[in-house]
Amino acid sequence: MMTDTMHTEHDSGATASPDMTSGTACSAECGSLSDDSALPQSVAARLCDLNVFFGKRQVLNDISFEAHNHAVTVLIGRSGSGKSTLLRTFNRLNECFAGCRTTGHAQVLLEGTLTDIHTSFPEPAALRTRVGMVFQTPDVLPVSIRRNMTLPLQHALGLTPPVIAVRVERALRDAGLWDEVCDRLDAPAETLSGGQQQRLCLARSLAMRPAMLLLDEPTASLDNVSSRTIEALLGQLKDRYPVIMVSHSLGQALRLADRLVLMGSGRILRCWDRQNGLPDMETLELMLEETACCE
Amino acid sequence: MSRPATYFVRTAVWGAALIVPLALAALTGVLVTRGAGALDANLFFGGVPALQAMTGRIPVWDGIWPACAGTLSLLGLTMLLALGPGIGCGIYLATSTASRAKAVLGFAVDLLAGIPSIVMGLFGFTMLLMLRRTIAPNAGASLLLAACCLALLVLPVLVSTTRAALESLPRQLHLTGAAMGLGKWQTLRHILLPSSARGILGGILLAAGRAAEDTAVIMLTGAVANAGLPAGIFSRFEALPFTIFYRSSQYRDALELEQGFATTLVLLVLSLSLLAGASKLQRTLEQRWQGIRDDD
Amino acid sequence: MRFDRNRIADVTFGASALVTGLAVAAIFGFLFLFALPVFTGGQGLSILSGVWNPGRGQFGILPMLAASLCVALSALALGWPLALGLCCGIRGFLPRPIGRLLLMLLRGMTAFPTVVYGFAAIFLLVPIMREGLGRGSGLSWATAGLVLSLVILPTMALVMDAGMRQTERRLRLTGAALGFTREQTLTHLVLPACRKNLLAAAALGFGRAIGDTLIPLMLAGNAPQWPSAAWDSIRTLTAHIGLVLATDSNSAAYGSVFVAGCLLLLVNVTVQLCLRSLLRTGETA
Repeated sequence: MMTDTMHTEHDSGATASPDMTSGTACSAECGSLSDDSALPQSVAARLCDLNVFFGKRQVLNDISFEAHNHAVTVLIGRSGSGKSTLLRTFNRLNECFAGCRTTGHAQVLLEGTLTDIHTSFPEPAALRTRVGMVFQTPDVLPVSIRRNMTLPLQHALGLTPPVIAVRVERALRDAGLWDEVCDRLDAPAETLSGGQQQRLCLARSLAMRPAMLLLDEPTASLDNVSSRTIEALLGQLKDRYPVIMVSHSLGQALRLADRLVLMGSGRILRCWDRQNGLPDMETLELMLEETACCE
Repeated sequence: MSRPATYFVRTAVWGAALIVPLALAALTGVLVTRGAGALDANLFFGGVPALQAMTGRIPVWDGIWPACAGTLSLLGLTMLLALGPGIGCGIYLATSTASRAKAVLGFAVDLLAGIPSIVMGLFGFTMLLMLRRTIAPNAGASLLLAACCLALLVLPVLVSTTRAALESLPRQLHLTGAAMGLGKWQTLRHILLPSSARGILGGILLAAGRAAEDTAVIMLTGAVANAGLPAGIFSRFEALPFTIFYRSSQYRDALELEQGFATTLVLLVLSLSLLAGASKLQRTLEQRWQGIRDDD
Repeated sequence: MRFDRNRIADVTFGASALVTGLAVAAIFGFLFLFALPVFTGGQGLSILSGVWNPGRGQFGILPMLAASLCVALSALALGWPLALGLCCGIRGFLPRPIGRLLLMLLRGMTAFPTVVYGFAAIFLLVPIMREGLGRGSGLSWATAGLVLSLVILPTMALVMDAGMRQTERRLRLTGAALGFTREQTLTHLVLPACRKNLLAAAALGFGRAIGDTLIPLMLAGNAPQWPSAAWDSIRTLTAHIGLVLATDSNSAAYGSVFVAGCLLLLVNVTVQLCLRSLLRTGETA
């Protein structure tokens, strides 16, 4: 059942207008890459003192963090640590669940300016056309491949057929799927294999020309070969789209991440940047174990 | 482990498995044996050539064609009146967020579903009395009145099946639509409704079946034994169930009785076909989304 | 533009919901409104007395209420065990092909029009009852009760089956691990777990039976007397409404009809409330 948020609050103390400078009001964690390269336009998305509640339960605690352009930010943590909820704050998809309440600031870089996604978008649907999301299990619609691609372009963006056709082909090529489906675009999308379906979902998002890509454990339901294909794709795509993803696999996180974020119990525990060195697998596993006992 | 309990249940099972099909076979058997003989054009058109009878050029006095036409018109008008509110209400219940309103409405729909059909007919009768006393002193029982009451009768069926069809869709479809940037109505129109269309259609057929077979409502709101083809929505009409009811006590000779049996067969076939269609549609929907099978 | 459409859609669906709610309120409202003059204007509680004799100005409908209850309860008494038996058969006591056939039969029975049941019974069952019992015209409480149990059986059986199917799937492995046969799993594990569901089916069947018009009208004889023996001719509330309104007699009798309607509505509300409480306190144990 679709529900809208009962109540969306914002921090009444801080300024209400979209703040374009770096988050000086935010508390410490993961504030910026390193002092040298803290240029505002390299920030693709920023969260400041974000708290998310579902009913009485607090799922995210005082989250402050930044994601950068031309980079893949990977969130890892045990189940229940709030990774998916954090991901969903960027396209306000949490509001589809009952009893959601969000406080704090969330900003996304749109058309060159960091825009507050709550105050600038009275209707979340408009925001979601700018931020693309791919889910864990491929969520192809029960229609043909072509229609899967054209439906959002036609109805969410209101594009005309010639424009749509161009975008569809481009997006399918970017997702590495064009050669495999160009001759059967009218076949049901469900006839594709799992890996192909996931790439279709990716293509569907790419066709919208999003400002950012959100991926929630995109290879969790795929086999190794398909997973590697998607990982390679992400490696290519990150130059054009900032990517924030949740990963279920530490190995994948270490392969892909330019910034690695460890979460536990609804908080950000630690961040690492690739240029400063990522931890190795054993350290990460140990840390994950530790997050279990600190509640 | 107590043996007697299982034996007891087993007796009940075998008893039921024998009695019920037997009873049903006996009842259907008497209908078929005493009525199949009269299943011919004469039954429908009473000696009048088919084409002229169907177009109404020559009135049919001895056939059930007017009743068939009446039932079909009644069905059409009822569904016309009930589809909008029924499906709309079902969509509302499946997609709304106001939990208090939903609970109240859900209870109201359940109450509506449990109202005996004669009470619904009584309500139609009271409406008629009210109309006569106030704005339309010449109002009479009519096709329109009967259709309104029948629409109320089948409303709960439409609401429940629409709601169930939408709620049985995987939750992810809502999220997919939202994540694509589609608004609530767009998600509904382009993703949710097309995916649940079969179930909703099945519900429509079920409602139609219910409307076609009901006697108590139309008895009090305009059905008569002899009225010819439906002359408009403000006039009285004939209908198959009422004709059957009337025939059960008012038959003049063996032929009329035999035709009565044949009429029951006609109504039976109509009802069963509508049910079969509804069944087929709804099972396809179930299997597609949940993979549930009966012999599980 | 896009958002306007969302609003329009919301308003439309809300309006349908409102219309439905208002319709229910209207039905209850009008019937109680029309029944009220009976109590405030003279006839008063005599309506609820025990004698129906319009010729002498007595409009008591209590015998009709008693008749409705008797017929409904007897139909339930016969129909519920049969429904339960069929369900258990479908869920494991009978070979699977037979079970599947029975399920199809039950589904088909829901489409069997009541007027057709009545018609067939008049010409099949009534002579049997007449000859067999040796007294009465064959149109009686017993005849109506028998056929009514057949009418309410499919609804009850399908409700029971829906509940049992879920529970049986859940408990099948548990039973097998305990060394139960499929029949024993059903008897000792599934049936107790489905208790609420079975009761709900009974409530539903009762509601359906007491609200039926055609069967009592065609088969129960329609004499407005207290039910005392199974072969007595009796008149139910539903048949009473139909008879009074159809014969268009003096409007003094109308009052009784509206009271009868209200009584039926009250029964309906009670049944629905019972169902709610049964199904809310956990569907299956």
